[in-house]
Formats: sequence, structure tokens, C-alpha cells
Amino acid sequence: MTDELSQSVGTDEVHGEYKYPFHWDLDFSLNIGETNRRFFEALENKQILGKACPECGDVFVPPQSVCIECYVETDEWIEVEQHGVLESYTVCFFQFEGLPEPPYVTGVIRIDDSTICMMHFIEELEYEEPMDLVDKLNKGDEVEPVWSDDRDGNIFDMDHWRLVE
Amino acid sequence: MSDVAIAGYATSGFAGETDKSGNELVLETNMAALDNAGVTREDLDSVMFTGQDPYDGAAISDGQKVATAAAYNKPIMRLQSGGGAAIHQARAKIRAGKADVVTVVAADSVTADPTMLSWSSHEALYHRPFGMNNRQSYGFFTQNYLDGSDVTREDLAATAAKNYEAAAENPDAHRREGYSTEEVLDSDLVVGPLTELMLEPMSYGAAVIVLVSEAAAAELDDVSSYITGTGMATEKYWYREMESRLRQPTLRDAAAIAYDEAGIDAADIDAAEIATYAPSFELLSYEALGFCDEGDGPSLVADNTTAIDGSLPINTSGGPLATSPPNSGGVYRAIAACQQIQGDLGRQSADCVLLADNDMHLGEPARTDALVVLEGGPA
Ligand SMILES: [Zn+2]
Repeated sequence: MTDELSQSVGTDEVHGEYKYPFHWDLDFSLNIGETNRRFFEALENKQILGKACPECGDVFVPPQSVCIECYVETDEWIEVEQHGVLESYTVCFFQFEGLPEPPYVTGVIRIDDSTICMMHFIEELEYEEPMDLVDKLNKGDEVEPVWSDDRDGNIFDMDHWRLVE
Repeated sequence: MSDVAIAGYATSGFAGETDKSGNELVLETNMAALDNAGVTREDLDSVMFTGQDPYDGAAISDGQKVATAAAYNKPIMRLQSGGGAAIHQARAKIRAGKADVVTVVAADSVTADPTMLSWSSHEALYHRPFGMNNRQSYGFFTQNYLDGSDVTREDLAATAAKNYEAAAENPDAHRREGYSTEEVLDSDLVVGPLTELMLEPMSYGAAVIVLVSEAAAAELDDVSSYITGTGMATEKYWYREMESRLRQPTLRDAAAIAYDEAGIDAADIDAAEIATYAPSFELLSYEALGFCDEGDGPSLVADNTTAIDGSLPINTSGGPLATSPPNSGGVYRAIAACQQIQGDLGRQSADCVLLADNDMHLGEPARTDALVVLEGGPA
């Protein structure tokens, strides 16, 4: 990302003669709520939970407090299979603040029978050229989570996902 | 119910840099637009401002631009879903009898990392930890499209090159280098199959459009075009079946509403300006808008149908790949559509031009699509 086109990716240059640099440094915290809290607590025990809609039966992983289609509150917690299918994936070739050194793969994963998808890193892929990674995966590939030894109730209790052998 | 005309417009033109402040850009462009429309600050009833805090580097940035937008003591409303949505709302205000002259104002002058800005708008617990931003979302979409169809990276690159060919003739465009298919393919990889030249740049500049009621239009020398239909639609945020996203349901729904209101169908449209932030979106938009059957998108590029001199030119301005100011993109695309009706853009005149805008510069999920049908002459 060093040629002149990369102006659209980042903004390294500051022209002092007509630019006044500043930055926002604000701390935010979110209330995660009961539904998310229960999901994250389960991750500490290597469990993946979803929530089901009482009307249409759709299961949401990660859990959602409402079924968008039926507009009723989801009420049933279900422990789902630790098995996913890749709905899509993308290989990142740019360095993004706080994220891994590129290239790395982010997957859109449908876990068990969930009606929505979750996002996570897909790792343990061997490649020679970074571009090989684009061809390494396929929509519909089966994936499984690899748990972190050091879990404290957040999304990275699942360290990453990998292709099922 | 009276109809609505676009009486005038102005743009500063767009580039990858600007040494002007947002206020300066708005002032000069807004004055030029009012002048072009033949109206004065006194005639102006209301201002629709379109922009986003992150892309302005300031909260309530419309408040800071009240004076330069000639909005002092007038109702000003800010819309964050893009210029197409703002035009839809401005027209609604006029049709409701609440105003005769409304401007839609937007400017881009603040430099920041666009990936980081779009990242900040994504869901915090499950998406942001993985760097979910606009480009990642285009990558997911495009990878899924390539994996599930016969479309190739060459098709994507040819679509981009088609847009760059048009942009080379447009003095207001940002990227005017006329990149070839090979150059698009050879540029740096960014996400998945998408290269730097398959993705929109960050452009700076301003755009203002003046909407007037039919009664106000009758008092003016001439107007550029009439809005005969608009439509808007929104989708769920969470990722579900990517298949359904490829059908672009919001674009489809918004088009159905707008076509119905204008009393037209896809065959009546002579040209279109579409907010396509990667070539995959353009190819699938052809299907969603009814320009071709499912799976035939790439053939419209291959046979030059959608080229600048084709029978259905799409993105004669060069589209978002050539010019992509996040705040003013939709307003600028509406201007480009007017210019086609007036014969000032493209290689052939057009009677009916479609403007399809969305807020996808923040990312693909949960996008809101807005469609506007513009027609020349009195409606
Ligand atoms: Zn339901």
C-alpha cells in the first residue's frame, strides 16, 4: 500500500501548509445487556449458545433479543453444535489498527442452524503467496472453533476458527 | 399534489485533496447553485444537509454550516443516509406543501482514514473486533458473488475500466486517468478479490442541488429536470444468507416503488447513475434494477451496452470508483443525472435518468437505498 493510489486507504500525509491535524480520543463503553452477557459467559465454558424465536423457530447465533421477521422476543436458549459453514470470507491485505498483520482471513460463519451469521478469523491455512489465500477457501466450507486456553468471557475466547479436516 | 423540479445545481468538482474548509466549499457551491437555479436566499424555504459526523470530523457539522448554506433562520434538517435519501425527503417536503424551494447541501473536506471511520459505525461486540468496515463488507459480498457464479475478476476489472473511461471525459471527476482493465487487475490487493482500483477513492469537494415546486418552477426561466418518482428501502443489519444480499433487496424494493410512482419500467430508462462502491455491486445492480436477466450483468459490460456510448450508459460521470465523496456523493450523482438530461455529460442526450444512491460508504450491511427518477421537460 505504498504507491500513490493508497490515498484512499489511509491518510499518512498531512500538508501542514493547509491542514490542521487533530484527533478524537474519546472513551466509550457499551452496556451489553442480558442477552449478550449470557452468550459471553457461556464462551468461558467453551459453549456456544443461541436464542430461538417462539413463533418461527429461527435460531440466532449470536443471540438476538428479538426475531426481526416476527417482531417477537426470543425466549429459548439453545446450546448449538460447534460446527459452522462459511457463508463468505475475505482476505484482508491492509494493516488495520489493532488487527493482525495482513494478510489474514475474516469469515462470515453460520453456526449450526443459525439464521444469522457470526464473524471470526479463519486461521491455520497454509499458503505461499498472499493471493493464494483468496483461492484457499470456498463458500460452504465447514469450519470449527479453536478455543483459547485463557478465556475471560469475550469473543476471543474462541481464538479463531479453522477448516474441519 | 404538485410535482418537483430540479431548478439548478452546482459542484466544486472533486479531487483527492482540497485546501478549502468545509465552510468555504459550501459557501461557493451554494451561491453558485442558487444562482444557477435563478433563486435567491430569500426564496429559499428550507435546507436539507446531508453528511455524517465522522466524515465531517465534527458533531452537528450542519449547525456549523448554517450561515454558508444560507440556512440562518430557516428550517435545516440533516440526513445521514446519503444524498439520494435527502432528495427524497426534500421532494416530500415540497409535495406536502411545506416549502417551494429546498436545497440539498453536502461537502467533504476532512481527511481521515475512511476504513477506520466506517469501522466505527459497525456493531461493536461481534463485528468490530474483526475489523469490520466498508471494505471488508464489499470483500464478503464480492467473494460470495465470485464463488457462486461464473463471474471472474476480469469481469470486475472490465467494469471498473468502463467507469474510468467515462470519468476521463468528465471534468468534475476525481480519478480521470482512464485506467485499463489490466491496470485495475494489477493495482494493489485490498480485500479478497478487490484491488485498489476496484474500490472507491476518498474524494473531496461539495455539491448543492435546488429543488422547487411546480409553481415555483413556472416563475423561473427554465429547470433542468423533473423528479417523477422516488423510492427508499432498508434492510436488516446482521449477516444472514449472503445469497439474498447478492439480490440487493433494498435496491430492488426502492426501484419498484420509484418506477411505479413515475409510471415507468426499466426499459424507459436511458441512463443511470448508481452508487456502486465496487464493480460487483454494479454488475448485480443491473439485475436488481431490471436492466438484464439474472446472471447477465457482465454481458452488458462486455457488449458495451453500459459504456459511455452504449445504448444504456451507466455511470457516465465515472461513478463512485472515479469520484466518491462520502457526504456529497449522492448529491453529486443527482447533478450528473441532470447533466445527462441537459446533454452536458455523456455522449448522447437522455430523457429519463435514474439516480440510485445508498449509504454504503459505511459498509454494505443494513444499507438504505434511495432511488430517484429524473425526467426532462415538464412532467
Ligand atoms: Zn421469528
